[in-house]
Amino acid sequence: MRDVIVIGAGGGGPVVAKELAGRGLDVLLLEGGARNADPDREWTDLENDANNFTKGYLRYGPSDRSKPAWFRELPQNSYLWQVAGVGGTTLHYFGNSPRAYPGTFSGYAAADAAAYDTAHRFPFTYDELVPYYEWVEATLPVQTAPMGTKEEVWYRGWENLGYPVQRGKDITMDAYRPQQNAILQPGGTAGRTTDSAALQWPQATGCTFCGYCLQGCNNPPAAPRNLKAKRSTDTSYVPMAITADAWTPGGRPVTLVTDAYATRIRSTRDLLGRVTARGVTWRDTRTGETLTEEAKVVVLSAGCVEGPRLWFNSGLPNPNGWVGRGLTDHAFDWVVGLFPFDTGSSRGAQSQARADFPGRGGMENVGLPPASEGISLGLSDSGVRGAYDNGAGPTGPWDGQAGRPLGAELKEVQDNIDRQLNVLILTDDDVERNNRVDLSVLPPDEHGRVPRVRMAKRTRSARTRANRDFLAAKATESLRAAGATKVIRIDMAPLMLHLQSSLRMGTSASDSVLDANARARWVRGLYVADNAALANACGGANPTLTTQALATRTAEKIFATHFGGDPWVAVEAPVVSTDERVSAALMQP
Amino acid sequence: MPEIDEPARLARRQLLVRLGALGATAGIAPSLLRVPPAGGRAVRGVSPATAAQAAAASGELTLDTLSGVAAFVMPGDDAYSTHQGVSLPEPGGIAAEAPALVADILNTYYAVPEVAAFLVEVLTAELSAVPLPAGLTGLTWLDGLLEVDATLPLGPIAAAIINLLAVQVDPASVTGPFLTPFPRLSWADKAEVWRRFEGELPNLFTIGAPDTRLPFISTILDLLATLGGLLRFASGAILEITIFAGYSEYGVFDPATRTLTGRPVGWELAEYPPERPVDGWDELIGYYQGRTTADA
Repeated sequence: MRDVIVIGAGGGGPVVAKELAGRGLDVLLLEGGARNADPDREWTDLENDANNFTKGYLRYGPSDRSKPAWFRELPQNSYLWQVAGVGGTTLHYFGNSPRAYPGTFSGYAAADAAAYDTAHRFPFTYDELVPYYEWVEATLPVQTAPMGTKEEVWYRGWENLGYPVQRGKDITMDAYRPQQNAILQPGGTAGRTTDSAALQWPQATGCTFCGYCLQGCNNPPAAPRNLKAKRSTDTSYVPMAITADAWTPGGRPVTLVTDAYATRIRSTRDLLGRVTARGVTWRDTRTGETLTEEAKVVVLSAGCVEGPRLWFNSGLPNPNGWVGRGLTDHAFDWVVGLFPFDTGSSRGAQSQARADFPGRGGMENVGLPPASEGISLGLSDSGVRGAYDNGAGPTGPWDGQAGRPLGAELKEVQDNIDRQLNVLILTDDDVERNNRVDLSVLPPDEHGRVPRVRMAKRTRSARTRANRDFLAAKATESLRAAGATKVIRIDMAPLMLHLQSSLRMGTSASDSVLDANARARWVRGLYVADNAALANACGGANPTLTTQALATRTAEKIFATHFGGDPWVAVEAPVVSTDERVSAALMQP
Repeated sequence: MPEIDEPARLARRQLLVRLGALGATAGIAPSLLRVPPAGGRAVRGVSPATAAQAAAASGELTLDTLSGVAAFVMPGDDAYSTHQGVSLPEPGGIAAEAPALVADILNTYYAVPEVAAFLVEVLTAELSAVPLPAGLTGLTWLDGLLEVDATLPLGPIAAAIINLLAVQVDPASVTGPFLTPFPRLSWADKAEVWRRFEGELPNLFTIGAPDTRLPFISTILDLLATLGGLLRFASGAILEITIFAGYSEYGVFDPATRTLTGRPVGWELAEYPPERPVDGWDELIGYYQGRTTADA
């Protein structure tokens, strides 16, 4: 019997795995997708090869790309952008690692306290999470983003509007700032040359400004895996987890099994009706073989869609009906400005600057390669600009009605990728009961009944819609202040990329699945450690850092509750994931 | 202690039964929906010759329609763009080979024959009104494919629906250049097709609470909602993936070597700077206001 089985090697699971491996526990880490062991050979930086959602190497599907992707029902115009494989959705994330807005936590009593989703706060204080933020920020590490041309343009806009700079990590006011990114700052030749020969590690260290965050980061070339620039979990927490004996005394390397699709959390019910998690059954996606292992503790980290699906397919209890409910997605919107000068949109990490509006949400500058930009331009709920508005098409400070540019206007917008600057709107959206993951009535696949993901964009709460409109208008102002000659608001249909809170922790047992320790309320020995565990949308802050801080806290709770151990974050210093002992252990044959 | 039982699963056979049950609950569907017969799909007796013809022509028909879509989304200097009245003196989505990639994505995305068959049943009359080459109609095309191997990928379904709407928007599109009706439309009429695809067609599958207490009605309503939802999803996704395809490297990607054989059309159009993937750019300006760390 294992001490702990962690289901899912995405943004959260490897954090629990690494932390508990560092305490000497026997941890099995299961991942349904690919190992991604050799990105030099497996990845190309090309958009269709990477991000085609049916066959790309960063799709949600099995490692064998000749097999179909895994189907999830989306009963609305929307795009669900998750990635299977070691690293999960951090493989394509931008590394943006802001802390959550303090107003989303219990105990917050500042003047703007009523501005947040007050019914769904985190069940503990912001101050309690800060030491865990600091631990993760040091481990990844999280660093202040450098500046390229698109950041210069971004800052100019906010300077011209007269906003202040947020100088610390805690979000305290309406302000702009450089991103705190889980990306190593450029060193040596990185960012200073386009010559491939000169960009080899160790001549170059950190971010080389290649502009391929979305296709998976594999730079600088020749760097050991834990020294790649972007700190997705495949370069940070997973390397530490599988080398735990190398960097900490008493550490025990995690057993990582990939192509292992969890199909059931095994459980027992005693005479008093109490349900206890006992282990996990998974299917080897290469052989079709079904395997089972038992464990003292099971940690569910399979993502906001797969987590509820596995819960339902395992027949676990759901007495208040909140499993899968309360899904938040930051109600993304996309505002693109066209400029008569170079914006550098195709060069550099894809978002290195942001602005925050506590109680409303945030926004960030984004530069994308042309095909991914096309997805963003096309995913609209407001029809085709100039032709029809699909019953929406809001107007505002942007040019014309919101909607997707198609035909001649699309060609105009895409005429020069380096004369665009995009703003991604990250709404502080409310937890709402009817936005949810449940099971489709369509036939099951080889892993059981398939999930259905419902996000009713047009009937989001009044606060959510008002926040989104406010941010889109503010983004438009900033682009114009930076020199944009035309601004288009897309009015995105749900782009489900920041998913949160589908197995949420909460202050009330009536509308949450997890208690304040991220423990399942109705299943003993079961914890959740991914974005699904978040109580809310973090105020509009990109969720990964908060998930990782929370997962660190959850690891401590597991260690104390089930293995009689003591907490460590308050009394120890973390080892950084770039530690040379990790590099050396990874390079051993 | 006993293990908790595995929950019941909805097998394909059950789905068929439930689809058939819709036929038994006469009165729950609005007049816009025809009710499929009990037991599932009607057998219309498509001849083996018709089925073979449908299968043989399917790829070409799908590509023709998706070429009309590519010109609508990303016009260029091709015949499809010229015909719609909106063209540009530069390559477009067709030159980038977007139709082939869109067809491939649709065809590999999802295929459940029972659901496809149900959709065909619902839209029988409309599909019959779509004439296609070699004596086929939209209906015999899809029925023929179902007859051949009982699977029906999304590409032909999507193309048939787009053409069904094209004929409704402009009845004259039943004849003309190209193989299918949609490419024969003007750009404005293509936009009208998409207005209906996004806004009206999926609503046909939204029906009110039935006046019945028969079992599994909620599941049937759920299934109808699912079909409407899939149409909503498809109406947006086809446009998005067409843009994605048109600006991607697909047309010049060699899958054997996983390298580019030339500069992608979309890169040239967007003035995307690299000739091929780069390891980095000389783009570092410094740190804003000299801030290399956040304040504690």
